[in-house]
Amino acid sequence: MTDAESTEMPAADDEHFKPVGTMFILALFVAALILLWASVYVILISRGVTV
Amino acid sequence: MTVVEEPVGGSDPTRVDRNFDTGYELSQDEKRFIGQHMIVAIAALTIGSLMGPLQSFQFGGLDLYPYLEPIIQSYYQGLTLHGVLNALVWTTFFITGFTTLTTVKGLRRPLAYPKLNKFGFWLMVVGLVTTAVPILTDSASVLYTFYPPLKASWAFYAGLTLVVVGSWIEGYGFFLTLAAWRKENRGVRSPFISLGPIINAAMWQIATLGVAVSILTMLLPWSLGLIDNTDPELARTYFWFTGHPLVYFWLLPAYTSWYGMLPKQVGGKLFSDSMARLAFWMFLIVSVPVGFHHQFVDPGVPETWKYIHAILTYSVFFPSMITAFTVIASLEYGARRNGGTGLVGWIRKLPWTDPSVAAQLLAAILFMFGGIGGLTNASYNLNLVIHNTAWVPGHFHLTVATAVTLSFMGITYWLVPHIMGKQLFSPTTALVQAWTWFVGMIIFSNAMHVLGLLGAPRRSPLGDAAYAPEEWNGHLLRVSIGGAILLVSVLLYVYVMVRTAISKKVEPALVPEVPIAESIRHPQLTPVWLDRFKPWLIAAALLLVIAYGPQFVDQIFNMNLNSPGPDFVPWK
Repeated sequence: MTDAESTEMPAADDEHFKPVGTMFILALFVAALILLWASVYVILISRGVTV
Repeated sequence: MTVVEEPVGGSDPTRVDRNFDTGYELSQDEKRFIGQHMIVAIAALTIGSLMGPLQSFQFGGLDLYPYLEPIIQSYYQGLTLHGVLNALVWTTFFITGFTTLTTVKGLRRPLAYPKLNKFGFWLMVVGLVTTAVPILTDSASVLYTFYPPLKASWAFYAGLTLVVVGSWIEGYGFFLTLAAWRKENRGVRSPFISLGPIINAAMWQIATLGVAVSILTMLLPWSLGLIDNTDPELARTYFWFTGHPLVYFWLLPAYTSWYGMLPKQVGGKLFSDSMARLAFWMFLIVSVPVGFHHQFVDPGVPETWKYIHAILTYSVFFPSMITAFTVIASLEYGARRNGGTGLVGWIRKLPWTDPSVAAQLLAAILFMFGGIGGLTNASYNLNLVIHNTAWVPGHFHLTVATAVTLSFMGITYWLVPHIMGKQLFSPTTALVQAWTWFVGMIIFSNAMHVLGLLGAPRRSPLGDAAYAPEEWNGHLLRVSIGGAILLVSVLLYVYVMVRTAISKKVEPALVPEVPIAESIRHPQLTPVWLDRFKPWLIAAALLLVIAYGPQFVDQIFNMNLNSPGPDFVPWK
């Protein structure tokens, strides 16, 4: 979303406020979560598999 | 589903007074009582935090412990002071004081039985003193995770019992106050600002049953010489029954501020009253039956139960994500009202120069990384990489030492001036304090996480470790640097608090108010099932019986009293 588009959001003081910025930040968070979790998983695998 | 039950005011639920800007003025007695909690809490934080850098400096090769004898006689005595004072005392006293404020302010009425709450508070103080004596005489250097085989003086266990019982009694005072309010306000939704911390008090009553049973049936008789040995496996199971929900006992008051106060401070509103309540009820249910994820390498717990608890731990992710979404959406709402634009550009319009706001925003940012580390801890297989390593204290310094502590510091930036009728001394210094904590913790915590991945053990004076490989050195130094910055930060915090406390009173109009956010949607439209304790308490009890019942039966009936005898105090 551009700055121009975001200024066309409905007035904030209503129940139809759409937290698009929040969704974007949470998407980044989930991506970071997957990346960091996977990095530890790689360490686990690199230390060898036990059965 | 009926959304509104018994709407007060006929068909127009909005006729009910909205639960914000309550107008209830705290009495002098209430302010004094809350202030007493804060004095003990901040004193504990101050002393406990001075112990932290000793450990971090030791990691970097600067061993200051010999200079502190005979006051501090060992690394483990300092570590115990740090953990007990910061993780148990600072938090418990702050939380009970803060809950007193949110209860009376939100419900717009005094405590139903103030003498009961005062009795609970003074019992906690007696317990604290009783606990402090053996710690200061090096008779209880068992760390704040005080399970056997390490054995403390009986006074340590007796004192902690009094602290817990005192907090229960304060909790009863909150429950009775809410019950009295509900009798007076039938059909009205409880204000979230009051309900949230009282749900936390209910969760605490359930969670602390573990340590209560452990101390009364095992540790106290053992330390008094009434029984010769204990079962460390069972004691660890009891401890972690309490130990993990303890994290949520710390966090939920911070969440209360993030949901119900911070939006007001940034010029916005709570995005969803219903979501806030749902998250708190979910925490009540799922934060307790997860303790076995702390015992993934304990040989006495069957793999199936560890797996069940791993899954249940993942379920805590849902209320956590609800919290992340609702809190950030509330902030975004406020920032856009302030003129914020863009996908993330609105963040600049948050009032970053307000130290109370900045402290809580920075705490929340680091908490997101704490959440990622937490999921790693909870993963049955990944846990093997980091179990009992420096990763773990690196993780909980993002949660209790930042999400909780930095948020509580931010709250005191309006709370202490409010109850004392003063203005915050030097907001600029307070702002520097918040940022130094943020920067110091990034350096410290990141280094600890990396050290953990490199195999460095936790609870160890790594500066003396002959086995330390060269690749640890740079990270050990970063731990020291981070600790030094955190020391500066905590000193700045104490300075601001003391200068605020001794400053002159100001006109009432200049005293900070209690920031209570209204919600975008009227609270009276929140479903009634999100305002009732009964279904959630039943669900919590059922899940506990399922998740812990069979293992408790098995471990108790197959108790193995094999811990070392009466003189096992290896730190001396």
